[in-house]
Amino acid sequence: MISLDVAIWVAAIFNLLQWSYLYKETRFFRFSEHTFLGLSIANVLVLAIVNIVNMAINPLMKGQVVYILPIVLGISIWTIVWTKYAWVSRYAIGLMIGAVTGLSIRGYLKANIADQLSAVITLAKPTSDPFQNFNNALMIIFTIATIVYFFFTTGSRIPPPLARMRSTIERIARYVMMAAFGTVIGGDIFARTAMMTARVIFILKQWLGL
Amino acid sequence: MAKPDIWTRLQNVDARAIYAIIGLVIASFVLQPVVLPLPVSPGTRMLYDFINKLPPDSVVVMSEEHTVGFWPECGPGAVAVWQHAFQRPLKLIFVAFVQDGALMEHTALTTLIDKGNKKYGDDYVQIGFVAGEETGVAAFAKDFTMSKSDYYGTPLETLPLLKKARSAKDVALWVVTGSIGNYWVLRQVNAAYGVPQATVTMAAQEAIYLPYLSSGQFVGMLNSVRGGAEYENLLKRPGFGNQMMGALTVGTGAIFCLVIFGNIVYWMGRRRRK
Repeated sequence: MISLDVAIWVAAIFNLLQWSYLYKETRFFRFSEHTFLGLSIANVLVLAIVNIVNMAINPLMKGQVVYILPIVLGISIWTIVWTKYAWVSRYAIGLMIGAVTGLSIRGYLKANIADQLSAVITLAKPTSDPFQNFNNALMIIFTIATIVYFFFTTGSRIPPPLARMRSTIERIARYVMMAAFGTVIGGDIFARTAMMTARVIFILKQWLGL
Repeated sequence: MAKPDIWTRLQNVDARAIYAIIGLVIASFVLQPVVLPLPVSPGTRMLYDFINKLPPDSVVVMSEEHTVGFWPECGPGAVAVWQHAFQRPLKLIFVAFVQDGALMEHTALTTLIDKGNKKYGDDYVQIGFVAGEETGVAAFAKDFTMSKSDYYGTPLETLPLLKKARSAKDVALWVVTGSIGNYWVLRQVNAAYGVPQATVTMAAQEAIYLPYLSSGQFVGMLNSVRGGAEYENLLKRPGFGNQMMGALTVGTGAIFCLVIFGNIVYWMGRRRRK
């Protein structure tokens, strides 16, 4: 049975208006696009204001004066719109970038370099499963080939046998990277199809009740 | 002027015809669902077993790190994992470092999850949104009460669960749903406190996160809708993941066939021109 819920009707109609773009850019599509953008911006703005009030202004009102610092830094970012005073915003932006870089680099060295390297080294240890050993050997070769591709850019000043070897390794690395990128693109197509399938289920089942 | 051959005409086919074919294929398999065999992936099995082996009263943090648009992909997996956690005697903390995350957690907790006899405040808590992205994760991991109040405005200090679980040091598992948040948690929680991490992620991100699964940094990984459907089957509670999988597989298969067909048409057209 067709839904009698107004919210579902609004969602379904806007869904169809968005899909009208697949036919061509229509007034219906533009109406739904602008409505969506307006609502999204309003939602983000309200949430941002609520966060600032909860996380900085309320504690400040309760006497925690240290919160004046993020408020002043936050306001200073707005000076970026006046050319004459834009330099003021650099302090706040610099502080943010510095804090995030410093914080993430601490974990980055362990999580993205040390642990990943040790995992590759561990693969060199043979197991009782021949297929696993083959798989591990491929992973080691592909990892080394990809690292060589990016780090050993020696130009033409190396002896011909070494140049040939480097060229073969680089070719392997290119295929490996293409396969990896292909997997990501394939996954992305799956993701977009999943979104569409969910909306088709919504229209046919929840709205039309088929 | 010579009439263009079939290959040239096929190369100039209206893209709208292709949209219509894909739409019709998906719609017909939504109306007439097909149940396809779905073997359980190693990453899904690993997470299921890990949660089953957690000792009673272990603290598990669930963080929802994606925008609403990705709910169809990540939602089925997230709901299945949360449902499993609610079935076990675990203590659950829900948090979000992306604004939309808190809303999705609230909706799932109030409408989709069977919470059994779990009591809010004692057995589970929804912190809500914590601003600051990676710096927010670092601050939250250090002190769970840094947000002061939960999603409903209750002071965190008054919630019994947060008197026991004070920081990431007390956590047995951290499950991230989404994508970018995985790196934040990996660097600020997994690397800094040694907390086991698992993820429910999008299909496009699977290849990127697989190295973390094989290195042991992730203790489990659910890949998109498929991972969700697999987890639902392990729980014997088929839900939205299973509902989507049939139509989604056939729809993706149709796109795959069209890509191959498009390439054949292109190569045949090129051969003819030569």
